[in-house]
Amino acid sequence: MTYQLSKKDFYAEPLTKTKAIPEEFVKEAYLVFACRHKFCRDICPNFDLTRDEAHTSYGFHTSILAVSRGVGDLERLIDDFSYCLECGACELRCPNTSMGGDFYRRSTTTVDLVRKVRRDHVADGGEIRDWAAVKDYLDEHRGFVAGQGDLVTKWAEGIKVAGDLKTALFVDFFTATQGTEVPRLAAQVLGKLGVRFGIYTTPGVTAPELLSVDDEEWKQYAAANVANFKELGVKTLVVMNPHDYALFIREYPKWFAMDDLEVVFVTDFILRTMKAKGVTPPVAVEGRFAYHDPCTLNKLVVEADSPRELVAMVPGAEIVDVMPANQWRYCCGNGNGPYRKLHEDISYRIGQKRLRAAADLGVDTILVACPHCKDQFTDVKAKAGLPVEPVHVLELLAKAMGIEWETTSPTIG
Amino acid sequence: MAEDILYKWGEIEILPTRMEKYIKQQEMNEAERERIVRARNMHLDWYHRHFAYEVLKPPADEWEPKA
Repeated sequence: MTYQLSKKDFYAEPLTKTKAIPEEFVKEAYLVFACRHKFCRDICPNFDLTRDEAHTSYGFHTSILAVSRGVGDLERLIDDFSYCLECGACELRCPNTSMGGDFYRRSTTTVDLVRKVRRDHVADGGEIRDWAAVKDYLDEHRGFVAGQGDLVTKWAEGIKVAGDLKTALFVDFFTATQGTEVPRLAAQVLGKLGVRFGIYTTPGVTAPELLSVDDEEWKQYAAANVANFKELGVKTLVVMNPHDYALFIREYPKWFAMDDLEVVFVTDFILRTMKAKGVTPPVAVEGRFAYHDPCTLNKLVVEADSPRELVAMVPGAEIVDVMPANQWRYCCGNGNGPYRKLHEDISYRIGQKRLRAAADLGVDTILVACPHCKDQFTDVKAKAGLPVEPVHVLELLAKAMGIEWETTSPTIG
Repeated sequence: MAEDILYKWGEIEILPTRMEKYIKQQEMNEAERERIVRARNMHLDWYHRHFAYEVLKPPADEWEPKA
């Protein structure tokens, strides 16, 4: 996948209580306010439950317009901006993007807008309600930085890695501490395919939550990564977490030249390696599975094929598919930022609705390609008691490749 | 209309100077433009599958670019 550059320069100018909102920003707000289609409402997984228009792309832009006209106060409106999952669905369905964005070279960028408004508000001395849990999460990750080399390779005990980093696995703190099955499964599959790889050991804090409070700090970690990739001779970076992948594809090119580095999502990399080597999984895994598209792949990067293709290669496995465009209205409820930590109850209900939709397809397993989705669905399943088990696509693939793996799911095989 | 558009890489794009009067273009590379087109096609594909039996095209002489 090539890097996708979409950047509005006027977002760099901070919003403050004292200064007027820049004219270009006001025009931006009008572009969405003037729309009466409101497709952004009905595609939004949050609006689906809260039914509050202030939580939609239309609402965010209208709030900015209200502040610019002196009929609104960001101090009182900022709470609405916390209800964004940062999934990108509204951007895709906005006619400004989908029906004219490529022609006019101007699209709706709600995720960037929401992050900008939050961090400008914080920089201006404001607070975001219930932010303490997000701060703790970020502080925990900041604390990991000192010992990051050991932490991000701990999952790899007993796995053979190459001495060089020409092909490097990128494992962030979340995946290294809470989603270890993903890199472990990926490493074993790659080992079986005969791929030489190393592990990149200094990811720094990659959490997209940081972009909602301090993009300069996020950029420092990103700049260190870019410098390290060059110094270590990384040619291909295989990314385990789609949240990181979306950041590499859509955020890094805003600030850094990335021409010498190929960033590939893990399922894309495994699929192309299997195709190149003519490998097909030999072991049949009988079953009918739902598949949940992660927002980061399906909406932000708009690339949803490789997990489906991998499952299609497994003998006996069948996806009862809901096509990607129809999944834009779905989210696991975690969101691509601080949402789950800010709105635990609505997050749970969004996840419950998604699992219920999978159960309605008559399956007992929902395949995922994101450790955050797996984490969220595991919690939701336990809480709601729904009979649908979340399983990572790589777990199914590993089983079909004959890899010995203690499965977390009793429903496969 | 014809003099105010560009044909670039087989796609139609507005002449950037036409945008300056109203609202500025953003920084956007080809991959981003392709993402928008891909998403539009995904949406239209879903839409057609659910609500249409046939996709109608306008007469060729009205939409094909002039040489």
